[in-house]
Amino acid sequence: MENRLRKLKQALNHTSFNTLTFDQEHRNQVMEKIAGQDTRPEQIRLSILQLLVQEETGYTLAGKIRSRGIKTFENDQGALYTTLHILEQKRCIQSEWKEDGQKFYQLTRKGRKLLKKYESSPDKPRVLRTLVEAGQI
Amino acid sequence: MISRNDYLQTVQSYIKNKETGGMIARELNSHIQQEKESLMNKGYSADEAEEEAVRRMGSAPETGRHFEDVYKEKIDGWLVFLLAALMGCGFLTALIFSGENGYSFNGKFFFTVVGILVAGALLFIDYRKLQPLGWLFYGLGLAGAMFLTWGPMSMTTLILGSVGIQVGPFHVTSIDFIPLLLIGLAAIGSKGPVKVWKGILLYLFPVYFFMEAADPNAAFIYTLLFTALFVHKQVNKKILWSLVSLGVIGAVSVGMWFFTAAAIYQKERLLSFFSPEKFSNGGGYMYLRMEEVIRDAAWIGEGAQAEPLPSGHTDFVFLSVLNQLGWGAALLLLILLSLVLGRLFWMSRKIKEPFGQLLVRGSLVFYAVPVFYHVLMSMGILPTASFPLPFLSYGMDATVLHAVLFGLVLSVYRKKHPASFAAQGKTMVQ
Repeated sequence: MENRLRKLKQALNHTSFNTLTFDQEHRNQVMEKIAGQDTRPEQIRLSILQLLVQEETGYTLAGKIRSRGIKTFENDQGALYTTLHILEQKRCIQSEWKEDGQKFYQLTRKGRKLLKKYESSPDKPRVLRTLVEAGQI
Repeated sequence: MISRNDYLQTVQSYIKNKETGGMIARELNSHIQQEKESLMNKGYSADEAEEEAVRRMGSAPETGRHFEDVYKEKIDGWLVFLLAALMGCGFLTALIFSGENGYSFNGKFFFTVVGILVAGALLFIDYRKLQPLGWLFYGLGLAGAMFLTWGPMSMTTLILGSVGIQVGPFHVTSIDFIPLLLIGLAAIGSKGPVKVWKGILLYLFPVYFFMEAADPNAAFIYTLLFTALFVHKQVNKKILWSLVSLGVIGAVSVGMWFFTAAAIYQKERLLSFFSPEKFSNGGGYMYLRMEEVIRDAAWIGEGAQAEPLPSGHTDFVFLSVLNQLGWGAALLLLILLSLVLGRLFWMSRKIKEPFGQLLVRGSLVFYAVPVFYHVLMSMGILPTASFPLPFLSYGMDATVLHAVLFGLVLSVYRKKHPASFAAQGKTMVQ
């Protein structure tokens, strides 16, 4: 940077910007905001579909969603189950109670097609919108 | 901090259907249990772990409300609307028919009201309660068909060529027992694969009685209905081919019998379909009139030749509408009829529970066959036969009978969530 601009920067740091600090608190808030960009309902549902390529129980799914950085369900795990049931009504996923007493979820053919469509679509938001539109139940 | 039980009970309290609520509670409980165990592994005490696990579930009322939103029992508004429209059109035909032989506005009104009441009553029961009574329904249907054939001659009368009984205001004929048979067959079919010999018997007995009662139309509908219920993709190819060849042999033998043993008038009926001009004073007259109606119909209002058709309010309702109200009305009617068909078809794919699915499929066939035959016959593609148009033709068969089946269909749709939950739950180990 040019000398003159550097001097300007120094001067400003001593005057107007004196009280401005980028401390840990700020850092945390910025990181949360970045993380929060993925927590729109469509994105969450998409992540669920992606994770259900293999079959999972609600419990294991909750863990995997958290490891993806999605914190929406951290203190609201009931909502994960309502989302799963809604996706099941939309026939994107199907469920099955297994012999060990656990309920497993997995993608349906329709769900797989939707995922493929998303991955190959130039207009990704439009594909996502179908995941959250009402009706169809 | 609420306890695990309080959490689960609160969620369930928002879900109206107890079965559904129970299944959901099971699932949530399993999650809480696993979360608790994982927390205990991290060093929490049992009580702390449970409290934390429940806390992480979030708001119980909110979760409960969301679940109820998904699983509330809905009535299929579209179907109700379409049926109401059809019934309304049925009344429109009163515009055409006042004063005609056998038609009475009061009668039409009466049948429609009875139909609505019956459908309404069925809509609000849980159709699944009928499933264990499958054999009873089949037996009743069969007994009815048997009575028409073997019952004392004093009680039965000949109605339009086939045997029937007069019960108060109702003419009861073979076709009226088909819904009973349908419920029975759907219940039997949904319990598991049916042995072929049993299936053949279940098919042949009613058909025999229908034919003996001189009602081949009922036999025809029953045949198609039976096929739709029991013959599907999973059927053994070998069995399918042997059945088809049996059918072909049967058709050929009927054909041979017809040309050798049938009475003159029966042969004439068939021949007049193919060349009506030669029989213009007999069987061909109707075909010629039908052709005239189609040729001379206007877009709106009466066609060039406005003379009403015989049996116009029953067997020729479509042509009567065409004749006296024009193509506009006729096409509108066709669209309505097709929409109902489409809706039934859509629903049959949506219903996963086996008994409900068979009921909807059977109702679809019972509705579709008369509609297709009536319309194709009106266009001259099929020989004349008595297949009243649902809700539009006059009479009990057209209105009340179909109302019964549609009431059942609506009940199946209303209970589709608890039904599918219950069906899932059966595979669980307790």
